Amino acid sequence: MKEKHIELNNIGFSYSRGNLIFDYVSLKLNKGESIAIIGGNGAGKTTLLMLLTGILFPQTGEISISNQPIKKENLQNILQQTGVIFQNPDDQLFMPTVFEELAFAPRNFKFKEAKVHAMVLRALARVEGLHLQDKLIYQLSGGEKRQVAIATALVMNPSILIMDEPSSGLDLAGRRRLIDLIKNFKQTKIIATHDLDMALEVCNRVIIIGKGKVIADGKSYDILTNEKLLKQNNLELPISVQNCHICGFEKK
Amino acid sequence: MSNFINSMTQLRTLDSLAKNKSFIHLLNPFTKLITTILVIYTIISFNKYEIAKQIPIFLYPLSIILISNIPIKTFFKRLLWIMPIVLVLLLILILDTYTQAKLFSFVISDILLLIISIIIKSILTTFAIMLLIATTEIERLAICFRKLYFPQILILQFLLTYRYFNLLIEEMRIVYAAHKLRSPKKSNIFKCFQGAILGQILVRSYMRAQNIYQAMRLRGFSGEFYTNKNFAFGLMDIMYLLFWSLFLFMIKYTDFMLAFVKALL
Amino acid sequence: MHITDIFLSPVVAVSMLIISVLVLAFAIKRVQQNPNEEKISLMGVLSSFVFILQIFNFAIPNTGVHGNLVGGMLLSILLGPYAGFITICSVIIIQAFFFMDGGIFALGCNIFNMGVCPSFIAYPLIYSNIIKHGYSTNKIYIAVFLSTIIATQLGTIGVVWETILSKKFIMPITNFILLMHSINFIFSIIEGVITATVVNFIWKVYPGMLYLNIVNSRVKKIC
Repeated sequence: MKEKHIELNNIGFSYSRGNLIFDYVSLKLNKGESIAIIGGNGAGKTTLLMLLTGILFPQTGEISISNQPIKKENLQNILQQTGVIFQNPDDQLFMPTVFEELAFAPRNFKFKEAKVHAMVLRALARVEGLHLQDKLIYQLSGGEKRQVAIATALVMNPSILIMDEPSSGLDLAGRRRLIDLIKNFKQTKIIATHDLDMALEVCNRVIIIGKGKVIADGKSYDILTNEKLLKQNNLELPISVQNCHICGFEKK
Repeated sequence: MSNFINSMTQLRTLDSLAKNKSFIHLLNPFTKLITTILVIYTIISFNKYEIAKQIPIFLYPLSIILISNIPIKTFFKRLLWIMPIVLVLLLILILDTYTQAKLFSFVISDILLLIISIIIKSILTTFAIMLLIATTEIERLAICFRKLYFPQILILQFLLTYRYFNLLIEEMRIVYAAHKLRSPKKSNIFKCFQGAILGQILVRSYMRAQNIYQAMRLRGFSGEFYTNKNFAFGLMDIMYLLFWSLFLFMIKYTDFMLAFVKALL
Repeated sequence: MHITDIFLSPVVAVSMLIISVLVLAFAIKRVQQNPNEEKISLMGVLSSFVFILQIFNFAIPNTGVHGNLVGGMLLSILLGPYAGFITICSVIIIQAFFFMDGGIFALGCNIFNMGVCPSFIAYPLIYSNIIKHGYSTNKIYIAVFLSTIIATQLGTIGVVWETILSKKFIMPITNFILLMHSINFIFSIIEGVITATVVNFIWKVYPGMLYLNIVNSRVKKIC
């Protein structure tokens, strides 16, 4: 029996401009699952992630993490359990050096300095970035920035990892490293992405959202090979399961 | 555009210089702040006839540059940048008395004295502040202000401005490049001042700044910055402060330093 | 517009510092009464924006005189007088430390000339009176233009008298006054045009950023 980790109960949300994003959506996410959230542009993927982290609050309904509803009062508590990786690492890194950047979160939660140091080194080791610790942020390359951004999410050792388009802007080798990295995380993972090949490889559950509703929710292979369903939602079959248009090779 | 890049590189050089680890860098920022204020106070309290007395103060920037291993080149670049402003002021002065028709010989000498004194004073004050920034990390300085009971919101502003500065420059570069690519013949930077472009930059940076602020909040930020910096006063701090206050006192109220410099020369 | 340390006497500098600190304390108290999280990032962006605007030095043809934008009016319009004042203070402080415009002792004078004049004199007396009943392009242009020019001229009066009282300048007083006011009049026209176009743009594209808009909508909701 899987343990329930995150629960969304009748979530309704719209921006002040009036366009409806979520129309009474309910979801249950279990502990240790890795979930891909896919959908066309503007389907509300990023909004869903923002709701999960308490940046935005739903107009109706309730989101709870480990049976604790997200409210303004216990936000600090919830934030310790979630690590967030933004779409653009430049939006995430603001301190001058990598070490300071990583130490930012534990210092805010008032850990002792020796502990902070250990936490930072552990997080950097997880992403194989120990050599980066004294570098200035603006000296980093795109791939290194992403590495550091992932480390900032890992530093508090959260039980939930939330990622928004983690593979965008990476070269192919960088993407491969990222996939291997993510596969090894034991946490509950929620990944919003357009990279369906990555979703197929990393995630065991896929949720398609669009038009304010959950359109499909199931095992990743079942959904990602359903061509008709994907087409309806402005998506395409992952390249790894497509038949080759050029040489006519057919996969089974 | 070169103006932006200049000031950006300047911020970054100062930023990385402050990361050095010399005797001066390791001093308490509070000590350095007080010393800087004392030096500037001494400089501005001289009147324009006391030029000779100000010269020994140059020992202060010189010794710090030597001890803290800061390349002198960066400073001279900065001084070149500030000089036109001073020179322009002087030009007005000279032209102005020239239009006064009657020229007495002592008027000219008075102006010359003033020119020299202004140049010396501006070099010294610039040096004093630059040395403070080049030897102190911005976060440490901010926390030093916080310990002095500066309000939290002002410190937050101070740090955010410093961080958002890079972001804004980036946005500006993007918008400027996009604009230039579509109007190749006009490369006038004053085009940037068209309200639409400027407003565009502002709105875009605001959106991104909100993202950054959200990222900070997600990592538990609630208005107060924390660092591991040690703020204890050491023996060295007290010695440093005592040494420079004694030095400045002697310059201001005795002729001892002047005689010393003369003897050296 | 910046006064530098070397033209000020310690007495003038310190007394202006005390005045400015008192005003600042008052503004901070008012802002902290109703803290607004979204505003903090806007304040940060705007202060670096004004900071960059001030890097541009305008040269007046044939004289070689330089001057820069102040930005105090823009900040007050977007953030309201209190938060706007705090923001311009942080800009001036950073400039004093990092770009050596002004100086540590001149902080008080600079904050008074470039912060108090636009935020607490020109903004409440001129701008908000014209805009009181809602925005329109013409109103924005008139209000911003008038208030910027008046704020700059008031600031110039401050600069002139702080310098004269310090007795470090040997130029004849009347010439000095005329020169400063005429130079700053030209700058204030440039600044007025820029501020007005920016405010007009923001009003059209992203009206939520304007301070009076927020206040007005709140009033409507209560009614």
